[in-house]
Amino acid sequence: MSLNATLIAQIIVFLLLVWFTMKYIWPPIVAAMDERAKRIAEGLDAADRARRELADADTHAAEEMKKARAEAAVIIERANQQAGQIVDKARTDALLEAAKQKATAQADIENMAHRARAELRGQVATLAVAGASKILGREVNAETHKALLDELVSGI
Amino acid sequence: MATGKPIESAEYILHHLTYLQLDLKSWKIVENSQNFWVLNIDSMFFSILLGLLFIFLFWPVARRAKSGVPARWQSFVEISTEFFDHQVKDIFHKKSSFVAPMAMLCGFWILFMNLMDLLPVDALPAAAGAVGIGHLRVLPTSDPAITMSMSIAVFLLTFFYSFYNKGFKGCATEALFHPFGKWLFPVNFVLKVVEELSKPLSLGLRLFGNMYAGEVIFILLACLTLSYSAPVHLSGVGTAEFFIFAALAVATVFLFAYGRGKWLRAWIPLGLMLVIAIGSVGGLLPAIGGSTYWQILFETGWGIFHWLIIGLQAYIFMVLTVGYLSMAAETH
Repeated sequence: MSLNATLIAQIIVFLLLVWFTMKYIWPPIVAAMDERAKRIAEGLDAADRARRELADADTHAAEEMKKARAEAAVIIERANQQAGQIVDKARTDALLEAAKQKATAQADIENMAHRARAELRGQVATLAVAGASKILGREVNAETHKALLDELVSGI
Repeated sequence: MATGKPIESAEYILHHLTYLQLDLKSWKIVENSQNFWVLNIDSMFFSILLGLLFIFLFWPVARRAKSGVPARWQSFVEISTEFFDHQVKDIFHKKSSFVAPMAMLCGFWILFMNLMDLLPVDALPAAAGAVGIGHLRVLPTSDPAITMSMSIAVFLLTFFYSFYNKGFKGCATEALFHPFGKWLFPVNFVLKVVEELSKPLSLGLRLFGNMYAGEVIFILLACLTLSYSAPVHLSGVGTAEFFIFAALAVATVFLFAYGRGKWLRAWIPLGLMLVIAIGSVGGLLPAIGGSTYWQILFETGWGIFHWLIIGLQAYIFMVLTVGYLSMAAETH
């Protein structure tokens, strides 16, 4: 075994290699690994958060749904009420109209009857005279029987 | 070893343990120089090459490191980074920007260098020989200059780090008044010096010793078939037997790997391999040379076992480096 200058040369080589490893090889690898560890931790955190948020969103959605359903029920009820009111109003309106028309018709009828009666009143004396003269076979003087005819007319 | 003439084992081993050296005074390629101002170019070349390999495997990832979904190679780099970070955090309790990167560099660099031991012992030296380079040692960690340079560098860093953390007074107190109190300060100091010097020595020599021994064993196993390095004329029967042996080896590996719990069956082809090996050594079977079989068996076995040493030694060096730095950082 003989030691020679190789010893010195190799000490330098060894120290250079150590320096290189320490400067250029080790730190970037460790940095990348730490960075990945951080990213994985962040990813897991994010997943947890997302899961929590999803659960929150679910309960929130359920609440909203319930609220909406209640609102819808209220609206339907109100609509039903309104519909009932409209129908009622329509019915009363119709009844009123019918009553009005009936009254008008009755008034018309009475008018017509009244008019017919007046007309009849005008003609009844003449008809009575004509009828009596036919019965008696002679001229009947209307003037003489005026009192009787008036009584007849007023009888209509 | 392209000489063609029969080679002596001693010559072969020596050849494999000789460095390709550069004399810094005369700027000439030398061998077996005992001077100090000499560089072992081969082990330096391979150690720097493997250091650069580490950089070029990891640097691109580091430069483009994204915090998004990592690609496969980035995942691997991150897993290893995490591994070293974890190891360092277990041992070293202060914050430091250089201990963990240094641990990663030590781990990978030594691992890469140790892995050179698994290349066939003759592959690269023979290739180098073909282009006129006489000697080549491809395993940098079997060069004490390489391992000691690393451990001395660690020692120096520990030394400075200790001063940086405890100051001159703290270091002096620790060196003089522990463990036996201030009245025995010379004893304390001697103990401290021994303690401190033993660290780089044990750190560097442990790695060197393990890898050197591993390499020598590979070289010795290679010696088993040295006498066949000259062209061998194979007999038909011998060739057939060799192919049967190879087929049995494949069957063994296959049964071990894919036996689906019935791996015990792998002992059948393995036993047959042993029978062929023993038989051909004893001359009972016609063969191209029984030691070929032994070499295959032993080198495979040692190679598999050596994986353990390769990884373990890299790991031990890394952990001890961090440990020494942690001792330097903590006051007692």
